Amino acid sequence: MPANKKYLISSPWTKTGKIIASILGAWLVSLSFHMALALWIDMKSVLVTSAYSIFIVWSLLMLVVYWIKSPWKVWGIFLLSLIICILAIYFGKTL
Amino acid sequence: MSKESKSNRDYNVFFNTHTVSGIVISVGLYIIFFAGAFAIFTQNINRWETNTKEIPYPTDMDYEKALDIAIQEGYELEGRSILVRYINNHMPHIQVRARALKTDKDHLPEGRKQPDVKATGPISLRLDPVTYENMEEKYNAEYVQLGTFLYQLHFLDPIIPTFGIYISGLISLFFLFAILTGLIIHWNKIISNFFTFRLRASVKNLWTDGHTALGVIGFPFQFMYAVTGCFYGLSIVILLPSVLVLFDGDRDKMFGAVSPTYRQYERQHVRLENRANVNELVQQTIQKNGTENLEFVTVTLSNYLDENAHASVVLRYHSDSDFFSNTYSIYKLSDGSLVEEKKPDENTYHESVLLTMGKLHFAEFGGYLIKSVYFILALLTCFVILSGVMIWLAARDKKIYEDKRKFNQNVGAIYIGSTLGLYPAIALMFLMTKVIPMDMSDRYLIIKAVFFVFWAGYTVYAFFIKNTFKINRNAMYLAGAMGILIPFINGISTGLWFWRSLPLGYVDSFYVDFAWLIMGVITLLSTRKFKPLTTNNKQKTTKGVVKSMTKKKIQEGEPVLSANTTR
Repeated sequence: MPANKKYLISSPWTKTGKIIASILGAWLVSLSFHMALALWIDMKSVLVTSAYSIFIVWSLLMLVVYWIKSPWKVWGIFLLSLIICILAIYFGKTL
Repeated sequence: MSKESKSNRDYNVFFNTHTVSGIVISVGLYIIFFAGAFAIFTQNINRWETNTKEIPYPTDMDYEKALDIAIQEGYELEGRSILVRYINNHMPHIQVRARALKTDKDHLPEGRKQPDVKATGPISLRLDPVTYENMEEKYNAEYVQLGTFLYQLHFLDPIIPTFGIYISGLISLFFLFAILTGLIIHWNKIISNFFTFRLRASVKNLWTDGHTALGVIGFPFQFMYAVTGCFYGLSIVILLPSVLVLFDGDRDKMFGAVSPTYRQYERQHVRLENRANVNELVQQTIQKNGTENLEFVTVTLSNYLDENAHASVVLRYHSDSDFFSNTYSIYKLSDGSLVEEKKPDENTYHESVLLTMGKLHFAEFGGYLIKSVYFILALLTCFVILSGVMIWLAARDKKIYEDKRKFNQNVGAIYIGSTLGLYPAIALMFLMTKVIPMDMSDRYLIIKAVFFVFWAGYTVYAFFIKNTFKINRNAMYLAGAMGILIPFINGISTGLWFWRSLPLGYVDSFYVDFAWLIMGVITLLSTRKFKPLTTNNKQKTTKGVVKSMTKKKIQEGEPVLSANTTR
């Protein structure tokens, strides 16, 4: 009983986009989110927690990539959260 | 999209990602878990191979002498952070390590324009624990033994040198993804199917039930290994960016923020003329905490011979009542005064996280019983991986996949052959270590070559016969027979028979022999239950079927994981 094909993606572009989003995109979002948290909350606690939580958040974001149907929407959400986190890191470091 | 079809869509999408990610990592993950099951016993297997006993951790090590040797070897120690510790494994030695000295042009020693490359380079010395001589050559020649090899195999290092650890980290990440998707697609039936184990309904149902039930039982164990495996394999991709962004590239600052024992102190560039004796500081710390069950002592000297030099002494104990049981004291090296201290029963979250991950991953918190439970759970995980591949194969053994049948059969034969061939190959390796004399030159090159040739040979054999029943049965015959032979060959070649080893105190020798004997017998007995594959078109009896399914349903061969019929 392989999965019903009518629900799956057939375009190779979409497939590649989703694979890249689930590995690279999810990694960047998870990483920058933890860095921003470390700067704004408590450096030490977030750093040691990130030893395991980065990977858990990473894998949950991988689920999100496949849960949301449109790859554009996925990349949009990831880029937006990335920008927010990078801004938070920037201001966290300069302020 | 209606709610109904949205939920169908989610189910099918996650089902597909579960299948694809699972199949992609299956062989690698199987090797990681199977070799990893043995790697839990790394030191025990090494001691079994060399017929040695576990010796208590020595408390009279001369740290000052080790530092003198480093100076004699031509290293400049002033201003460095130096790690000195006694490693009590199958090849006891003293380790002296330090990173390259930072070139600081304003503070060069008098009369020198450029820093001396060799003297300021990184230090990695291994000293003989008795004579304190450099034993690098002996170490490189003899360090890799069976347990060490299996440990390295479990992060794929012997197969893909250097990059194996990163590949295994990526496999861990996909494994984490696969167990999460697996949990999602199985969620609605997690309770009802937990009690379903149709041993005799059909082979496909057996694989399916085994895959889901053991997957659910093993989930916490597998989740722990997926996360800690990611950490050990992929820590570089989280540490490097964090160091660059948060600590402006200063690695020491980051480690200092995590634990006081890694903390770096500001260098004063004033030479320390009189300093406290390191041996005395270590003895002082050991006496305060006791020598009983002492497992490991690590001494780190930061800014050695600088006015602001510090010595941190970390002690680790083996305790049955306390999970962590570690303690450290940090002294100022100029006068030996205590700067900071952690008592064994004060455990903060910050310092426990990495320790906990290590203890969980390497099963370091109990004795033989915990390790044995880990071993069995790791083998169950191997079964989950294999049954996943079997479901994938069985689902494609149908008319509509006729055009791809040959390809699927080939892939299946290689997967099953290379995974099941690992068991007899490891058993063969255990035998080889006792057959080939210890003092033979290039001993491990031969043993490794035999191991890889046998393993590859079994995969080729599997590719040609393509009969999963025979591949499986013959692997079990070979592994079972060799497993039973192991204790006897050990007895013949070394005279340390397993009924003599325990009274003589060779606990590891006895444990490994005895475990192989039991494993060999169980493996051979299990082959009696093997039957050739019946596909789901030819349903057999309903005898012995678990009650939660009606007879009619089973005869209809209702697929357990089918999405659209039962939801």
